Parts: sequence; C-alpha cells; structure tokens
Amino acid sequence: MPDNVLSVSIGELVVSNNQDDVLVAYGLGSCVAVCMYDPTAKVAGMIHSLLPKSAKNNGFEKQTAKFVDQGVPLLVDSILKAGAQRQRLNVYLAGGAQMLSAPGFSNSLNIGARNISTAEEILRATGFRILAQSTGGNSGRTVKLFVGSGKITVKTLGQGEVTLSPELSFSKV
Amino acid sequence: MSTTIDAKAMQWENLGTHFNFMDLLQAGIKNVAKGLTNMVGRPVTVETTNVESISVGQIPEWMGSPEAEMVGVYLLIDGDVYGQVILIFSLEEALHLVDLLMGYPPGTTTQLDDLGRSALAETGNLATAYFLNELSMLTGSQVRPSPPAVMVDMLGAIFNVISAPIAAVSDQLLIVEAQFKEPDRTVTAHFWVLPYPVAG
Repeated sequence: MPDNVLSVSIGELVVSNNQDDVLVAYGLGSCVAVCMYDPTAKVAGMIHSLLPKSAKNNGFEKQTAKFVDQGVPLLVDSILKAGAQRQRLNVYLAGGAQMLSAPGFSNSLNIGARNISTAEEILRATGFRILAQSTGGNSGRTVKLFVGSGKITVKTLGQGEVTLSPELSFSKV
Repeated sequence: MSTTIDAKAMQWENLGTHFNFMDLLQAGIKNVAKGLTNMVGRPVTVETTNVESISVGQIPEWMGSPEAEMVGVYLLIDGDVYGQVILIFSLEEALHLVDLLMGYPPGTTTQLDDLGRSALAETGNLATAYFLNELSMLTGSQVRPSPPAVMVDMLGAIFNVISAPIAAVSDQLLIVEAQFKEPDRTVTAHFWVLPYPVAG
C-alpha cells in the first residue's frame, strides 16, 4: 500500500482518516508530538508543539498547536469531529529531549522536560492515559503514525527506527 | 545567562545611531571572515550575507532536510542587545573542518570525538567574538557571548533550540545569515545571528 506522507511541522495539527496517510513529525528536539488513534474508526491525529504553555496576552490571536496546553484540546476536538470516539482513543507521546547540556546554559532552558510534563498533566486531567511514550533523553526524534494500522515508529540517529508499543515505552528526563 | 526577553534591551536596529544596521552587520561578518582566516590559516571568504524573516514552522525545510545529521555550535548574546548565534555545518563538513583546524590530511577525522567537538566549539567562540568585537568597537555597546555548546543531531532538533526562546512572542525568526568558504570549498559554514525581539 503506498504511503502518503503528511508532514506535521512545528505548530501544526493534522488529522486524517485516509488509510494510506502517514503523519510525520520530523526532527523533534525539545518539541513534543502528541499522537491519538482510534483503532476502530481508523482515525489518527498528531500535534507538533514547541513550547509548554502560552503566556497570557502574548499577542497571538488564535489558539495554536505551537503550545502544548492549547494544542491538546485542539487535537481532541479535531479527531472527534473526524469520527473518532473519545473512549477508544489510544494516546502516545514522543519528543521532549534536552538538546543543550553544556555548562553555562541554565536548567530553565530545559523546555523538553516542561513540554513532557505539561502534556502528561493535560492528558491526565482530561481523562486520557498515555499508552506508550518515547520522551526525554538527549536525541532528536522523527515520529510516524500510520493511519491504516495505527502503528507508531520513532527514529533517532543513534538507534534507527523502532515501533513504539507499551512494552517499549521510554521516558528519561 | 538569562534568556528572558528583556523589555529594556536595546533594539538591534538602534545599535549605534551613526550606522546603518546592514552596514554594521556586514562589518561584523567581514571581521568573522578575518578571524576564521587566522584560525584556519588560509583565506576564508564571505560567500553571501542575507537578512531573512522565516516562520518558525518552516525553518528546518528552509535549510535542508529536518532529519539530516548536522552540527550546530550555539552561543547566547547578552548585554545591550540579546540574541543567539549558531554556526551550522553538515556532519561531513564539520569533520573536514576538524582536519583543517588540527592540520590533519583531509579525511583523517571520521568521528566527532571530544577533541573534535572542542575544536568546533572554539570555532564558534572565535566567530562570535570577532562579530561582537566589531559591533562593540563601532558602536561602543557592551555585548558578551556565552560559552559555546556543540550539538550533533537532526537539523530539526537543533533548530528547536533556537526557535524556542523566540516562538513565545513571535511566529517569525529574524535571521542574519552569512556563508563562509575556505579556498578548497570543502566546508561551508552557515553563521546565523538571531536577534531577540524586544518585548512591548
């Protein structure tokens, strides 16, 4: 079956029910991708967020998936509208690496860890359980979600591409 | 070192009222070429200088494949103005540069070890210092670089680092880009200065 790649860039939200589509967030560093999949309706959704929380009065008029706290509700809304059912959704989380570990860069720069904790908090608060995750560490990741099968893969430069499953969940902060 | 966008920070454009901002950048970049020439021991030239405004989401695609393995040497700028500097190479070019810097025959370095990383960090240090020194000398402003951090990873992941501090207040990144080449043209260094936007 031909794979039709839909790139999910920073700040984007993509939802698809086309079985040939693959949602891909390339080169996540401190960014996180929140992925949702309804295996019955075969609907998939992904956001690619750069920052944990939006500041008040930040000058942005619209809600955007650039921020985890705005992106997660937007993702839930969109995937439900596309035919998914809330109680069937499988939720996955990837990214949030610490890219800068040199001395002289303070911990406040650890946006990756804050992205992960914000996503975990919001998902938990809205009643979602994360089925599997590949988060933290010091390496960038490419995340793929195959709409037809619900398969999720995570690729790093060191370890190549692996399929994300509850048994292979990885979280290191 | 603070990365808070300081409302008191002077606008980069207002650095030195006697200078056109572009002229000032050009002078700084010319000085970087001088510094790199001294360091590499062969004439390094400025290929191009551009000032671009790129949307945060499009940054990796603008430079190349977001999955490409790249090397970034990253520094912060603090003082009268705030910003970030990053020197970017492909992994292959970074290995070539290490050979050049260490006086090895081309192709000797095949992996980036601590010594190689340190040589690249020093290149970032020197390029940034030559840039800021020229700015300081011409305008009398006080600007200091942080220590350099070397990142070897996917391009997209490296760009998360430079995008994050700016994206909280703006969807656009202002990038001053210069490309440097050495005579054999095996290494192209992309030298980026990213001024922080001034809040308020």
